[in-house]
Amino acid sequence: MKKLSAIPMIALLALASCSDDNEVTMPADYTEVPEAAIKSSDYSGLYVLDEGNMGSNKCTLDYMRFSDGVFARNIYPERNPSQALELGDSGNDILISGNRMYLCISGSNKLEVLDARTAERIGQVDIPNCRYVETAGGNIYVTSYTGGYTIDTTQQFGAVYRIDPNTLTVTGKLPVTYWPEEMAAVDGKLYVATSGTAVEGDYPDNNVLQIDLASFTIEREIPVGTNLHHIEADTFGHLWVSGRGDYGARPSRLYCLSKTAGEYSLDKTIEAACSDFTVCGSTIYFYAAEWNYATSSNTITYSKADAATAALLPGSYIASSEQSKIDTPYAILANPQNSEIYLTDARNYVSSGSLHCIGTDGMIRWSVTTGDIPGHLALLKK
Amino acid sequence: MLRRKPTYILTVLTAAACSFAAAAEERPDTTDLREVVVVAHRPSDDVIPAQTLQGKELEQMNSSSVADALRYFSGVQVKDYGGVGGIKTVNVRSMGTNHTGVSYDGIELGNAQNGQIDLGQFSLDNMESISLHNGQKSSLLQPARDFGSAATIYMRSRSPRFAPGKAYNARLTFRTGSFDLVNPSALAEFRLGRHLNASLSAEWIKSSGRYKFRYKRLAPDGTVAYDTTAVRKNGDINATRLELGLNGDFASGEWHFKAYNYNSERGVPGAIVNNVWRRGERISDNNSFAQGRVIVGIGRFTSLNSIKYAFYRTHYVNNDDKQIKIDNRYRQNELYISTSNEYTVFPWWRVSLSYDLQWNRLKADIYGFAQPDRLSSYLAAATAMNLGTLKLQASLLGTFIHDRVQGKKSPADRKAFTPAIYLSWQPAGKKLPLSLRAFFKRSFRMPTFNDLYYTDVGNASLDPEKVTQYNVGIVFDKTSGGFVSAIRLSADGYINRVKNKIVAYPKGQQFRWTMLNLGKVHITGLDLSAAVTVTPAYWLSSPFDITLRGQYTYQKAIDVTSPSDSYYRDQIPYMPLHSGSAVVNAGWNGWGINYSFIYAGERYSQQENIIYNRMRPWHTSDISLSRDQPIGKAILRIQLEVNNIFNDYYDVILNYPMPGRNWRIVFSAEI
Repeated sequence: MKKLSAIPMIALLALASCSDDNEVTMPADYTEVPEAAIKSSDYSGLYVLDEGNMGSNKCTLDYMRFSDGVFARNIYPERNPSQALELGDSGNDILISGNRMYLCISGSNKLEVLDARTAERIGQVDIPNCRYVETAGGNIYVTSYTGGYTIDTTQQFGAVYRIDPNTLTVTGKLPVTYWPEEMAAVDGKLYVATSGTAVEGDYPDNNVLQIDLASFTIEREIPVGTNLHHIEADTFGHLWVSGRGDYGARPSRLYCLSKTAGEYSLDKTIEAACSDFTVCGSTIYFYAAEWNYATSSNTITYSKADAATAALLPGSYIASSEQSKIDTPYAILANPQNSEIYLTDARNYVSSGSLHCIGTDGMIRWSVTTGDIPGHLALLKK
Repeated sequence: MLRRKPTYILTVLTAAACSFAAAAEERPDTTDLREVVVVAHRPSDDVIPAQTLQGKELEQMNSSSVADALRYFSGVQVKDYGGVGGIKTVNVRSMGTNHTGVSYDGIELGNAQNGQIDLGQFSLDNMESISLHNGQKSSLLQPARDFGSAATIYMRSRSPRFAPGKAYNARLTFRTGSFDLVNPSALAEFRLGRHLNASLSAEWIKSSGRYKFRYKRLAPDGTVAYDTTAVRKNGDINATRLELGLNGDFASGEWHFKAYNYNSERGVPGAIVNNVWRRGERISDNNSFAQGRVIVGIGRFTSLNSIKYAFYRTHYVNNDDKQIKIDNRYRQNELYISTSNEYTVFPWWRVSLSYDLQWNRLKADIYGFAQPDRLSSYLAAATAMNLGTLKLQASLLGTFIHDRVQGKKSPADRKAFTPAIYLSWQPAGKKLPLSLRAFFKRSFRMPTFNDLYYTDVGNASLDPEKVTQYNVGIVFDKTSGGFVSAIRLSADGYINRVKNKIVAYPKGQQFRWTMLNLGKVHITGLDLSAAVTVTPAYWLSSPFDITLRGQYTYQKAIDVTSPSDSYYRDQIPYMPLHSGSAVVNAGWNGWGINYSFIYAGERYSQQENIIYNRMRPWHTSDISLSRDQPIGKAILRIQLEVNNIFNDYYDVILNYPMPGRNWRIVFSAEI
């Protein structure tokens, strides 16, 4: 009987000896997607920044190489093995400017600076709770949720940081309103969409801020809509802005701003919900995912608008048979050269996502498995 | 009838037990288990698998909290966020934390807000025993709620016992060690009359929570990619615990009263991620309750009546300038009354009926919070038959829930009926101490207030999450004099089905969530345990003993929600396929030595079983050496503990590093 009792213990010790104390850096995972190869492209490839669930430190970077259609998942540890705790927590934006790639890693409070071609690290700039990055006039601009406190210390306002890309130092910090989001640079001005969430559930601001880059001051506040998020300029002199609404009475919308007497103001509201959009020549492609309490499911729509006339176009850019293959659309980007659309699926936020390439016929041409929450896309020019 | 006296008394570690054993014969047999110093499990009276740690063994296990001690039970996984103040919760047989009931001195603890009891708030200083019952306790005379959980942990605080002619007991303890720990405690027990005694227990714990942790990775070629050592910060705690107990008996019964307060201010160390080594979240808790129980026996009829009022206050602040500022206060109230009545129809047949009524309220200063309150009724009927070698128990619980919310229509009332059947059979009767057992149980957990009503996230139309358990097991349990003085072996195999599992689901836009009844989990498990006490020189008057205990748990817990999920049939997060523990302790003439080993196999931090979510196995080895020295009337005790002696750096929860090697020294004096 005594021997019997020793068996589980021996088994346990045997199991214990299997525990590998030496962990290896996360390897990249390579997949060949022949359909994704583009022979004569203006672009070398497409980066996907995966946010990773908050606190999981699983922000990862994936890359689709167009020359041969090889998709590499999680390349950062492979390219930067000595970087302790890898890329970081909650990636929120990606920007390629020249030979560099800038990544806002909001949970790690930093702007990560990489070589755009090799994804090797150049350095970082510490910016708390950074959200989006933009370049203009030789500087880098980053929005942040936490720029300081109101006088009564009850509320935190946001800030726009100015960074010198040569020294990777902050050269200016402009306090702005609550929760600033994406920026667009047009003619020496920086336009910032502000979500304005101050008190939970309350959206007191509904502005796009106009910042003069020479003086780095706020010049104007342009009233647009509730809970603004994305902003991008088209080639027709418009600024397109998406608003998330208040998830209640005030709906999500896509707004078009145009210039009168040299100043932008709200011109048209596209009467369709918009979570994110991409400008491709004369067309704006966008999607929306809105929670429906009655059916306990997301209502997902894929719509398009004419950039020149700011009018909603009929139909969708994804065939309805293909739409059911996407659970939670989370990022969109058009390839200006061939008008293909890259659309990501974040699924349930806590498992691997997908990147889909949608052809001009509305069919999914190819799909690959990405990291968790593929949220941000950037094309790398040749 | 309330609790049978153990049928055997181990002759082990008698030296250590001398201070208590003398009083044993004076006590009613209701709560007295103290003379059994080392028992791996409760006596075979249990139809249902139960595991118990108590007395000396508990003391020697290097455990600083109830959660630490529970790691030695099979089928249990403790979620430990690390450090002295880190939150610790328990998951039994992969069914989820919310399915585990936790009862303290006879009445279940509740947390209507999130359904999770932080076991770090209970001390081992005044704990007499901790038991884990899969399914429910083999007792008819218990509150209706106790028939409800999928598994229940029973914690029982020390009940006073006095040597003849003694009117008081007192013990002072001081613990110090790693993490700048300062932890004095005092226990005083008074005999206030033939039929009344009182106990007072007080404890203060202060710790910086600082410890070194290390993240090391190798490149594929074997060279060091990075090797980072840092100090865990913002894990400090400053907490007090006060408990008052009054116990009395009268001709036909007994009564117990308890008042409890736990007050803490602590840091939430948070996840370690790239570029973030310190966070600013703080939690203050002020939890109080008062409870009373009366047990009356008249002829064949026994009645247990309980009442409890609890008031919990939590203040959560995020002071980190880099994060969005948060400052929320939560207040919970609970009022609970219960009556449980048992009738012995024949000596071999008993029946019982229990009814509980409970009211919970949660208030929070969160924008748009629904300020819910809930009225719950529980009605349970149970029966037990003792047919010689065959024992049978069956129960049926009806649960009726009515919620109210402010400013909205109340959600529909919920009700559920959950049966349970238990069998145990001794095929060879008294000739062979071998029994076979089986149970079937249905249970459910109500969605918590957070699941239902949390601003934006909550979903008021949630259904309860349901669990069905099937268990078969075998136990061999023998006690005798001689070289092998006690041996107990048990094996239980089980299949659990969790459906309507409440999971967070993305609302599509920008990282917003809601709760849905979406998950389905299939669990197949095996719990093995063995305990052996050997007494090499059993003929001596003060023999020395060695007790060996081992347990192994196999749990295949797979997500079967939908074949279209990328994680379909993958092991659910944080559940190792293999885990186990081993404990060896030896005692002789006032000396005690204990070695404890815990192993948890490979786990995944998220649903998909892919390399990016894999967490490596870990194991810890702890050692303690103790000495009890009588000086005059007092017994001085000193215990030195070294934990994680091989300095393994590991995470139980991803990015929450656990301490490496650490030590603790305990001084106590008892008169």
